[in-house]
Amino acid sequence: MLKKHCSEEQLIAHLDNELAPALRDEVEEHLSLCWKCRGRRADLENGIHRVSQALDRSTYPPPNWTDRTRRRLLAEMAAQETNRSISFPSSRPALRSWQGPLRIAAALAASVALCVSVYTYWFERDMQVRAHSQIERFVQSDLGLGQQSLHQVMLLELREPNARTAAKELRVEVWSDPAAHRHAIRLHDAGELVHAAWKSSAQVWGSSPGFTDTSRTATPLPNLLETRWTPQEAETQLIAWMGANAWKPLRFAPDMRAFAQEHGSEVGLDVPSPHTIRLRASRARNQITTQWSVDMDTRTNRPQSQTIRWQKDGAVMELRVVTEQEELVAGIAIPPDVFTNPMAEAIATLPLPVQPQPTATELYPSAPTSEQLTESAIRIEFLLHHLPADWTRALEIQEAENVIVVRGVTESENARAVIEAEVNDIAWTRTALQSLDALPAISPLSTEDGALSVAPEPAVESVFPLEKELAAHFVAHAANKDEAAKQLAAFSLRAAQLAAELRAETWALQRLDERFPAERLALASASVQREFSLVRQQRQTAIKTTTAALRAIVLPVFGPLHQKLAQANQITDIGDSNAADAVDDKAATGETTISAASAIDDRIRALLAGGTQLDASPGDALGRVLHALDFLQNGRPDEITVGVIEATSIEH
Amino acid sequence: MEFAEASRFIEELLQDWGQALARQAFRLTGDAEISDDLVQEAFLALYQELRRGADIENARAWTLTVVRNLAAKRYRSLGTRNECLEPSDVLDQFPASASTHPDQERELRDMLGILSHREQEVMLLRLDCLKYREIAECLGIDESSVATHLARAIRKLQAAAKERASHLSYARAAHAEKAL
Repeated sequence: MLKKHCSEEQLIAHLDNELAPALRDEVEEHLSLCWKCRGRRADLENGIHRVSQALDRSTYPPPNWTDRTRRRLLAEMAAQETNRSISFPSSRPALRSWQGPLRIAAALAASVALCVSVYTYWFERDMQVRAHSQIERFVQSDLGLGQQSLHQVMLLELREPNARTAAKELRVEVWSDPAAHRHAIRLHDAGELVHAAWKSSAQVWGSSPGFTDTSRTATPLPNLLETRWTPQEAETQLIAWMGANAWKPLRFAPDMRAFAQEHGSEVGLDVPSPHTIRLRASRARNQITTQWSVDMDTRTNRPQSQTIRWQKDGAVMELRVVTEQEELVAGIAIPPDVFTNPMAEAIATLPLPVQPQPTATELYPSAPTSEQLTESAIRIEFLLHHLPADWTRALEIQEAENVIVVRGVTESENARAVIEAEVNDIAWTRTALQSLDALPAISPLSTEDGALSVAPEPAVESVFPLEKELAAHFVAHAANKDEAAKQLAAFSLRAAQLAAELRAETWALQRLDERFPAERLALASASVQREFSLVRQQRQTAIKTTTAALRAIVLPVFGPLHQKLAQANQITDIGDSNAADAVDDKAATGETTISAASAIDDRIRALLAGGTQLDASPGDALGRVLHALDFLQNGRPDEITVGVIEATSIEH
Repeated sequence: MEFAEASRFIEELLQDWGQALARQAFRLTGDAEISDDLVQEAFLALYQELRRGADIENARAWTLTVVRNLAAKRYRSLGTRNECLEPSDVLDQFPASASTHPDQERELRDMLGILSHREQEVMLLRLDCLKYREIAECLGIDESSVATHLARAIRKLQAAAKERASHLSYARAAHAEKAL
């Protein structure tokens, strides 16, 4: 076992599982006995956690970065290969044995060949560049669509030219009002509405089940359809592709660019009429030849029609997209009802199953609209926030499609309780709020499916390693040693419990504030808003009460202890502690002791807040409380006095 | 190296290492587009070397060096023409606020801003889940010093966080002392 405390390097390497096995065992043994090092390790862990959270929040590189860069790189590499194959044969060994006229003839022939190859190269290169730059203009105009209010009508035709099966014809209508976050898309098959997605604001949205997963990354259209060989099969894929882009205008250009930039693709262009450019791209892969052609209006850079054609052996499949209408409109010119559920009326007349659950009927008297749905979700969350802090710690809310699933689970020594509520656009399906009564050990929600992250309650040790001073204090105030040990154990247990409670309450308050930013609350009714401030108040009161309780038991013990140490005028730190270093650093930078005192003040605050101010992750609660106290013990006398006074002043 | 082999190598490296390298580039330049360009340039340079038949032992370290040099070159050409500076000299004083960032970026940049160039590198690579041995290889440092850099970085970050947290209590402590 290590004789000294662990170094920070060792602690970090231990966290990262980078210690050599022998050293690791020693460090672990030491950690099991030393709450101080455990506390330091928790501090380091929190430090890393904070940076990694910041990194998670950072938006660069974006999720599609690797794919995008791969495409760019492959295109560049392919271009370099082309240049390489046409490059001049300078590295070829000179033909020394050639003499006289033969040599001149050879030189002439070589220079003619050179001219031809240079001409061909430049000519082809020029054409290729022009085709690519046209595709780029196409992409730019497509991307630009997302910025303005737009109305698109497109006809999509899927067919087999040799007509084994009937063709499919879909009419797609898209409205987009990005300024107000309003979007809608409707698909009609033979005049009948088959799919829709609508979004009347950034928060309120819905879609028919065809648009299943709007969050996944879209597979490029040519790859998606090349395995589907009847129009009916291809239709499913096409709808999935649109679903993945549901909140955007219908765009083909990015896929075309990726296709054209792919290694092995041939790109070209024709000018069939003065105002039309026809872009062509084709590739052959896995015995499938794919050809893509776009007729683009040169005045607007917008496509008039596009055809993608897949050919394998004798079979041919074709997708034809004709732009029937594409116009920029002022936001106000879009009829507002397109941004709501087009099937709402039909749904309203459906006979809904009504389950005899008071909470449920209270929450959902009839089929909810999107707004009611949002409000319901908020109410359910409130319900959970009324529960003990442990519950909210295990709270899981999934918002997917039109289904909102709220789940919470808690486990204590003698009880296990679960809440599960699922709401969808058509009807609430299940709301189960089970009481804290003991339930069977097997819960429908297990942590195995990864849906729930139940933070384990830190184990509170009934006996903990004692520091000499602390022991001495208790011995001095007790009749005998046994009594002192009992008191000390009770004291530490209570302090740890209170600290854990405080942490949980603070966590719950943070979570409440995170979940309900002002803009989300604004969607809820006034009564819900009142309820929100009430819950918030309750949490704050709980934090205050627990803080006071913690102070009430901690200060009588440590106050005198510090005074005693102050009189003895000694620094008992072993020498490698963070705390002492921090104080030294500050002294070295010329700051007065006030700053060090305020650091102590922070420690007291951290202690009183159960460690939540400096670190929010659950860990070794006991170690943390004592770690905070330890700082008080080991600081300099004069600073301690200020710290204690400051701590007292919080009370008044 | 043949085209197919080289391009496969590049693709695999991009998958494993691309994002980490991009984060390093972004840390140096503070601009998404420039970072993309630097990373692309580094990968292309590597590709050319491979095609030329060069034997590159540690492709991660190689590309990171290229990105670092390109960023330094860019900074030099933007700012003073002080050609005798080493990349690390330049990068240590690289203006963190050279361009505007969205708030999410600023948080990370502010955090990393207080660290030295080396500490930033080590911290980012650690967050990209590289093993200490790999980090050491990438940066050409000793494996044992990785933990040292990390510890120092975290200590600085925590000191800064504490400084911020104690902003309010600072005044109160001063007041209390006066009262004494």
